[in-house]
Amino acid sequence: MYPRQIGAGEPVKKALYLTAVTVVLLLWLLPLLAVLMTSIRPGSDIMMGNYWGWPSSFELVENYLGVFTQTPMGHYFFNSLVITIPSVLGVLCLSTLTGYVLSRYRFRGNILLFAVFVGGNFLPFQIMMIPVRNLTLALGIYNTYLALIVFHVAFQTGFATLFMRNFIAALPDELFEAARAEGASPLQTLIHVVVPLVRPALAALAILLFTFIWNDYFWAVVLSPSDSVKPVTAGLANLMGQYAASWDLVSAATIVISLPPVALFFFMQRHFVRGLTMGAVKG
Amino acid sequence: MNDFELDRIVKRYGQRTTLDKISLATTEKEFIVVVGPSGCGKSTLLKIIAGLEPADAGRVLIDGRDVTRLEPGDRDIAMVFQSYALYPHMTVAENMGFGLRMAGRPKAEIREAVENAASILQISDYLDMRPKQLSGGQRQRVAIGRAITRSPSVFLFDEPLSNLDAALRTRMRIEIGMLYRRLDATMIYVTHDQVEAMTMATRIVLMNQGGIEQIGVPSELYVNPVNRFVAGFLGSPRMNFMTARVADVDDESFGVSLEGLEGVRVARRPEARLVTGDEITLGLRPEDIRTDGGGEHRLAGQVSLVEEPGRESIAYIDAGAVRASESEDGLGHLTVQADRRTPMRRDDSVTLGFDSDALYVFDAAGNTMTPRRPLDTPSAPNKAES
Amino acid sequence: MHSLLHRHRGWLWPTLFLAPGVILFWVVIVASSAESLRISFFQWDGLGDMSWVGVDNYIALFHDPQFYTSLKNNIIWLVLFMAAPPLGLAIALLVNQQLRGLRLVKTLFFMPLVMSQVAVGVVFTWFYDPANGLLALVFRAMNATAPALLSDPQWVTVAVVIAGLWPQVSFCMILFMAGLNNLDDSQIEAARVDGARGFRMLYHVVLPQLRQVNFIAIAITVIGALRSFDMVSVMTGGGPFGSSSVLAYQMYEESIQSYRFGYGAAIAAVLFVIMALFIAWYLYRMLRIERGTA
Repeated sequence: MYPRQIGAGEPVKKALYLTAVTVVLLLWLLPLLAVLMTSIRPGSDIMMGNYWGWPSSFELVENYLGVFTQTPMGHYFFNSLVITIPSVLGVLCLSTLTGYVLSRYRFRGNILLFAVFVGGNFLPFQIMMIPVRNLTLALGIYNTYLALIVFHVAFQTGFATLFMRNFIAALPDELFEAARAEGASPLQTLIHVVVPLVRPALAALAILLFTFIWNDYFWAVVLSPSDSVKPVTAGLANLMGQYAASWDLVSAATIVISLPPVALFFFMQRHFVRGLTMGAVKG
Repeated sequence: MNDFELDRIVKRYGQRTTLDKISLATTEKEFIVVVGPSGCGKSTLLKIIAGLEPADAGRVLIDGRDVTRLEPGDRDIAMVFQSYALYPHMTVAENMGFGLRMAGRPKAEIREAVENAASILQISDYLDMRPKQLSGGQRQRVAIGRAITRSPSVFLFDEPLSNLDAALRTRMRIEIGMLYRRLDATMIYVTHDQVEAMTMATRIVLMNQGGIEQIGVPSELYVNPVNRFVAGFLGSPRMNFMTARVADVDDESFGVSLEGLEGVRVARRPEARLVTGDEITLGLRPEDIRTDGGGEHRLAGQVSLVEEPGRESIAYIDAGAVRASESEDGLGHLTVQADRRTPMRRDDSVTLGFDSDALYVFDAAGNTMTPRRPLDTPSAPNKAES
Repeated sequence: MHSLLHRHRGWLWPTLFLAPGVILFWVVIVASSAESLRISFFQWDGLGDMSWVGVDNYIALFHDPQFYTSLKNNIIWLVLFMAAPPLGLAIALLVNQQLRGLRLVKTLFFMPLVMSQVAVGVVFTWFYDPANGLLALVFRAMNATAPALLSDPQWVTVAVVIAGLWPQVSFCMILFMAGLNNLDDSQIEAARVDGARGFRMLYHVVLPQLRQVNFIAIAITVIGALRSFDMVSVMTGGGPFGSSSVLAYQMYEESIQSYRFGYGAAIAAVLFVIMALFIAWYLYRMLRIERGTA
């Protein structure tokens, strides 16, 4: 069913349509709304079995403060930032370099290298889990921030290279020919031409990478089991075990750890959607 | 010493030879226009000169220096691109000074060069703007300005005017011509537009299918095309071609046998090898056909269509048995370019006339059989302008 | 030195640019994956010496009932996940209108995708809670008792997959929305002039233009299904009694919790082979499109 666009002169139709969309949306977000509701009611409501009725009082501030005072979530949050931000920056640098070369230089093995980046990106994490864990042990960085940063940079470089290559390949050839004709070296071309031109792509990519890395759970469990370096995802999973009865706290914590990617997404939605769908839509 | 030279340049893409031993040399800072139909290899040739594409064989020399293996930036060239290739993130001044900045020249020198080029091109007021804020013509000037600031010994132009509208194109054509006279540099200018070629070039290089058909001053190519391709490519409206046979041959001339046209004799080149019965092609430029009843030979015809682009009128005439091959209208009608003062209407009956001197004859291989003409014949090249 | 650099800059710079990314990716991702295949032929507790056991790990694996449970669950994931592309398309079509305020609605539909899978797991655990969850409330309203989905071996995997579908549908929806935005309007208009409407329009005019998006949506969905780990780990820990485990989770348990690294590597290898078949198909299609012959 391919719907026709609703015109400006059809107010009834428009109202009906908006109502229908809102109902579907509410159903769609029902599980999330349940968590949101729980996160603002007092713990006593839950003890009393008042899960879904009107909250006896609104404990928004108390519950969200509680996440930081009664649980180590604040520390996990800090860990997540320390892991995610350098990882994103690292991937942006590496993938700009690889994407530039793979899109603008013809050489034997170009397609093969590119295919490895793309293919490696789809590998199940488990196939590299044991050797990566050993590698971090051997380097003495197991159970440190660095272990996660190194892994995330390496892994996300695959996807990011695909992304940057396609973006740079879509830029006009003549801009690069002009740079060569003007005597710019590859390094100068990179700094003065490529980097300024890919800025919008870097913004989109940064948001995607932030989301991917922030939300990672598997490698957090494998490479940083101790509380001191654990990011929020692993932290929340722990919390669920330890505070099983305090659903108000767990719910608030769930919302808290979702906030950074959700906020990024809200403010830079255009970049995010364009990033995710790049390559999917052209051709 | 040659200030610019191409020595047997060869380029292949897989099995296909795109450029086949292209040679060319200039001595006194010429304005060379390379023209040809799309796919003839002219853009590839330009990229090889610039160093953006490697040649498979042959050499490029600039001021006597072999630059074949050098990076584009080290060749002492500057290039103006079809899409202008301006950097959207840089101001006009930064765009123009880019090459010098990359070469690590002092700031003062860069600024002087940029301001100098900007004043030549009258874009001094736009130096702090971004390309996006400029019109097409202004962008084109910036692109040319970027080339000028580097003061190269060879300027390369890749169809620089094809993105401009007609009025602006004429204006930029004139400006580039004036620029050439002002700068002491060789210009290599690639285009598919014969008007640009005829008006700007000191010499035209006419290319077809990876080879050079003819090199010469514009009027030479127009008046003395070496073959049928050159004759058909230059001139608008196109030359009329008619298939005929050789009736008889003597020392200085030969007779033409063509149904509907009796008793035509044309002069021949001494080296022309023709025997009776050979298939030949007659060529007759539309402006050499008269409609005032004059001329050595006459043809009766009927007007099938008249176009009036302005200065002159162009008529497509059904001349009965005499049919044009590859005619402009696809119906075998002769194209006639006439003065506007000689009104013609559809379905009018007309008498066409021409002199046998005006006829070109090409043999089956397309080579010109008629003798060289002096360049001051009535077929002046400026008539090619439309 | 400078002139040497200058003369060779044609290939030297690009090589330098490629090196860090390529080396890191090869060492950490590609070489590690190959190393895992090797480890799968050893018995190893992760600390002491490795001892060669040939294909023993694989033989043990093929006699392990848990392996078949995990494999079966992966297949359930794969099959049920195939609902994501059509559902995503349906929502994308639903919100494909140019009305004010719809942007916010679209954004809210994406929400599950942006949240971490762990958070989604928590959300659905709460949703499924047999005593107090929203689902229980619905059942109570109908005078029925809610099933304890997450502790029922028969339904647990389906329940987890439904949670997994939530962000996956969002993902497909984003892809299709972008695809619908990029449709060739003149084709739609031409079809409208020719009298096509509704399903016929969708089937004959819209879907053919969405082929590439469709391909990506299916690819991403297959990968998502085979990679499922987070949800299983958070919602059930593979339980009850391993009944909701998948290959990825079983591998993790065997290695990290039971210190059977060789055995874990063998499970990873099987998962890899399944995935490799798929990756090969994907790369083949991608490169074909790249060469412009698709």
